[in-house]
Amino acid sequence: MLKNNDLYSFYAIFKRDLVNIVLNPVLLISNTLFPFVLVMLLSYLTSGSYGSGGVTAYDYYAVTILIYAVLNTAMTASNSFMEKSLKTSNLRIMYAPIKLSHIYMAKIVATFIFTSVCFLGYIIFFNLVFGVNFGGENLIYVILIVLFMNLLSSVTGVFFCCVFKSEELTNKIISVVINVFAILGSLFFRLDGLGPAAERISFISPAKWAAEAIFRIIYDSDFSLFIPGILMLLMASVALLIGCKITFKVEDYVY
Amino acid sequence: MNMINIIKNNLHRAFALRNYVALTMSITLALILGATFLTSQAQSLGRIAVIGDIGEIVHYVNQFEIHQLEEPPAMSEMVRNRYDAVLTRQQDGQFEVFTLRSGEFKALLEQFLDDPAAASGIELKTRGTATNILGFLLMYILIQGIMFMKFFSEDKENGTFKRIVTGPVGIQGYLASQFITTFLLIYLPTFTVLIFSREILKVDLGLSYLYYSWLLALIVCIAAAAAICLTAFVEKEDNAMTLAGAIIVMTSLLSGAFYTIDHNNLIIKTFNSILPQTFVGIVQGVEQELLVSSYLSEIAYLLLTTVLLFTVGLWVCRNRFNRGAY
Repeated sequence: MLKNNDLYSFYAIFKRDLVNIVLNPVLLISNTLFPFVLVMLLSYLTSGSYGSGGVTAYDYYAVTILIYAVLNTAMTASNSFMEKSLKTSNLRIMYAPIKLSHIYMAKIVATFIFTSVCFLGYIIFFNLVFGVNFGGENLIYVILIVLFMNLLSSVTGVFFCCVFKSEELTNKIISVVINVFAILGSLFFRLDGLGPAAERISFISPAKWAAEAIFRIIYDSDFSLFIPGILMLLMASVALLIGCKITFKVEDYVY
Repeated sequence: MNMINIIKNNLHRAFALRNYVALTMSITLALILGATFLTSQAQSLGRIAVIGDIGEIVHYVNQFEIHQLEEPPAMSEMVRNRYDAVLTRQQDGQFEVFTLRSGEFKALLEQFLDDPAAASGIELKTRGTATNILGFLLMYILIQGIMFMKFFSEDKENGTFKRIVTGPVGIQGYLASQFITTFLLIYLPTFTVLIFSREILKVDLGLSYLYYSWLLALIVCIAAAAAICLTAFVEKEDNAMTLAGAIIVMTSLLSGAFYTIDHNNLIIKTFNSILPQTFVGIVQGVEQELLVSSYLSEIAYLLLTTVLLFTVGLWVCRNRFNRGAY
């Protein structure tokens, strides 16, 4: 009985996808080691410009690079879906008697769970080892924002794969977009210092809004961006999921 | 002759990807426009929020951007660096300085407030247009190197590589033709976009075409050689792309491709001078009208790096080939 169960088939695909992500050295490193190294480097480089007010460079970069890592989840998602070595086997199960949505949903869920665990580990590490302020008692709100953003990133990666039907094109487009957003969102260095015009352009970057919302919660206990932010992330995720359903067609992959 | 065939074939493959090339060209254009735009913006030593009565400080502190506020800015705005410092007028007319930045910055600001006449001689460090344009383009050119090395990855993955190099052209000739193709595929579109920006969009590029032609050639050589080296090591194109992206972003940040890094740490300085991105220093020097001859050693170093990267790539390929790989 259980074997014909929807949940069982979903779980079988999901488990395989999770293993595929964990066993891919590049995905593993880019989600664990890479953000750590980036924070250390950037904080070390800019440690000279902090220090008078009890806020360290780590306090800034641990948060902004977390946002950068969350944006990069889209790449993990697209890799877990259509990376060359996985694509054929991933798409072969289209012929199996399962729901079509299980194929891409499993990738989204596997990416989301794997990266979320990585990011929670990241938060714990920087909080304990470097004493980075992630909001103290408001920590749970920061984590909620990060998780909802992460969900949107996972869905975005898979959605772009469904649209372009290729992982390479998806990754090329996504990586440019992510880096532009990251630079505009002042994730690596301060953009506002480049003038009022640069500041105005930067408002198109979701990374900027995320940083704004998180920093407000951490330092001012100001939750004004929390509810609208979560709602927008949720709505965008649902919209892109519907997009996946519309654009993912078995016929496109038969060759 | 054999090499020309490979190059021709690669260019045909590139022509099939013309949408892709057009996309990279438009990103190049956006980067050039962004860089010139950011250069044209006035820079300052910092943004200062003054709470209450500004008084006379606005007349002399022109190196700082002064904003008058009713309420002190939120702590998150300070952490996000929207303001570098907050000045609050005390009862006795003196300013109280609050900043999250370094003690040095605080001291500088206090110096301004105490003795503005002496402090007004401090000059701002700014970067020229060409430094910004090439600094911004640098990261993208390095990434393009990996992108156009996809022909090499493809050849390796579908077995074409083995067939070609067993022929008269050899591994060396094959890799050299990949190098030349990648060079052409980055250099020509980028230079076209530069000409387009200057002639049609009337953008001030900061340096003449002559300077751009060799400065660009220098980085494109490095990008192509680095791509060959990396693609030789990493067999899968996807992994090469991800790995290269990480390396390029990090080294570009470290070497100050986007902004000048003021760090007097010896380790960081040594590390920076090893990176190919020392290139930005050359552009900066050229733009400040220093003699090119004073940068000969740096230029030689970059050319040497190109040769070294290419040789390592060749060596790896040959080794693996001899062991029966591909």
